[in-house]
Amino acid sequence: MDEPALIRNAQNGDLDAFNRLVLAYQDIIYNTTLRILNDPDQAADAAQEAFISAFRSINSYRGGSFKAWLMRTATNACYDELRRQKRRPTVPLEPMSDDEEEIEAPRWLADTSMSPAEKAEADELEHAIQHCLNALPTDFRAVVVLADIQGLDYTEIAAAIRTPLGTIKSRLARARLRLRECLQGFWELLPASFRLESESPTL
Amino acid sequence: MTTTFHDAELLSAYLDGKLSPAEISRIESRLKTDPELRLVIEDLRQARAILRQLPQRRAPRNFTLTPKMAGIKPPLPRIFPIFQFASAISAILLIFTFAFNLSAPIAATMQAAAPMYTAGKGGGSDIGPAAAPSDLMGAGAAAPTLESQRNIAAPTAAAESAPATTEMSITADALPTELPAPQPAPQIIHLPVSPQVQYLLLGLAALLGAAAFLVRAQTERNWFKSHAVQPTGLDKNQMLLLLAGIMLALGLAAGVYWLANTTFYAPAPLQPLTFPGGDKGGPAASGDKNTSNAGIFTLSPDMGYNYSYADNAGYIIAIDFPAGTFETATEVAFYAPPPDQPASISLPDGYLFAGRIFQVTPLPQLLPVLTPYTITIYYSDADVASIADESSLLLLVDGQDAAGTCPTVSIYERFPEPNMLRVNVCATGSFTLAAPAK
Repeated sequence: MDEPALIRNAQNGDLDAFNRLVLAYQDIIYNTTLRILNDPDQAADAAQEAFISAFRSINSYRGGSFKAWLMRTATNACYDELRRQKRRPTVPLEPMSDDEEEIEAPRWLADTSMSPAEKAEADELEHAIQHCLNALPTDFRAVVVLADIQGLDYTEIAAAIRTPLGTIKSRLARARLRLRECLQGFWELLPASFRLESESPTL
Repeated sequence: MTTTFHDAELLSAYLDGKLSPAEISRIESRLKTDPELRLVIEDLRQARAILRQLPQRRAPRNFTLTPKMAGIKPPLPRIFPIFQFASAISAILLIFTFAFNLSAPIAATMQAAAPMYTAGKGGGSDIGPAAAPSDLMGAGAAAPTLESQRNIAAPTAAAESAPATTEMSITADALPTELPAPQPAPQIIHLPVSPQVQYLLLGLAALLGAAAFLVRAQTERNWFKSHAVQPTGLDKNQMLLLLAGIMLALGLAAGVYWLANTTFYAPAPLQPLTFPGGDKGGPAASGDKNTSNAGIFTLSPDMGYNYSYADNAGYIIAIDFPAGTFETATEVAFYAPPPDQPASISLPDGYLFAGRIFQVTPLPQLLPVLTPYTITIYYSDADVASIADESSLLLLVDGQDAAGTCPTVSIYERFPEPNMLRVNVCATGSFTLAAPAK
């Protein structure tokens, strides 16, 4: 696939060329929206929206990583979706304090508040990871998904979510630590190499 | 040494290879000596590694875009906007002219609702206004009457100086000469824009609109075919829009047809009147008692009208016109010459003249009476002092009984007690009350 040529054609309004790019990137984009939104239907909708807005604004792509550029539309679509949810709130999934910052320690999830039944539901590692991702504030989740799941560079992430590099670094470190702490509750699911001998660090 | 969050940030960046060489050597030397820092970096590394374990999911469907999603529309031929624009212009012009045509009768009616009207000051003192209205009237059938009016304008003015000495002879053919100058008849309002032009505009709008629609439909069909996309057809909004357009076109067509086939009359604005030999001028208003001995009022075929005149002696003449008295809209002049003017009337043997003579004459031309109208006379005791009013008759000047003018002979309603007589008549001209001598 000659990506630059396809992009050029898409920029000239060639929908077929753009659709070939869609086919190439749709899994990556869907996984991003899925990990941020944690809902297959919403994730699919957001991915579709992302591609639609990507086509409409394809002329704003000025070189660089096309994947990172697409990620930006994908995270934007996720934020739009989350804003829509906030306007029409369903059952809250995350404990939020008044200032919409997630309650600091997610220990309640890992140790005490989960019933054995709930734990059984999350008996697969993937569910556990997704569960802990959901426990993160949206901005932290987006950073960690883009960095550790999609393998984006710091500068690409900074461009994708329009946030300074320093903030990206700080959010990523905090998100990783929190995830580690949260995953401690799913000890038995973790592969042996990940199991810790000690308690989670105290910071 | 305690671990800070800044340390965790540095370690996280260190794992991602985002530190400068100086930072790397510094953090590596600290890691060697600080077991707590080693725990933190282990946590970070594990979190990072676990996240990378997360399986990649396949997209549940293809997210390829349809032309509609992409907001791409088939390129329309250059003729399309021309058709569209021309159709819109025609439609706008049509609506505009329709509103313009519709406003003409409304404006005329509103203008006539507040007539400018000045009472004539003394009979014939000003000939100008008396002659002027006749100029406003159409030619043709009205011409002879107009001629006679113009001819009498000057003599009437001359007569004003000595009205009492003027011999007045009322005969049927002399009638118009004694009447005040008529006001203009109700005028047919001509629509400012001809219906033909409107039909043309409507046709243009519909044809061009249809052409634009077909051109677009054809272009889209071809384009969808060449792009291997399933045509979407008309969506709900487009259907509604199309339906609304058709309804609007039909509504406008009906409106134009209605306007074209309806005759609108503008009630003529009342002109200042002067009456020859009259005491006070003024138009008659329906239901009002007029003290002027002359008046002109307009009868429209679909409306009734009543006119009454009362003189100082208590003699009242009330005339009730039902709807349809005359076939067309017309002016009707009423004139009751002053009682001191001698009149020659042929009366049946043994009958005596009572009360006053009065004329009821349609203008400008004499029209046949299609529906009987009612004349009611209230006279005073003095009028019938020497006659038997229980046998009184309403006579035309030639001596004909007014009750016999209708196909069915009318029945007199006589009420000698309140001094009243009522009869339906089917003739116009000069009337007078007469009764046999006691």
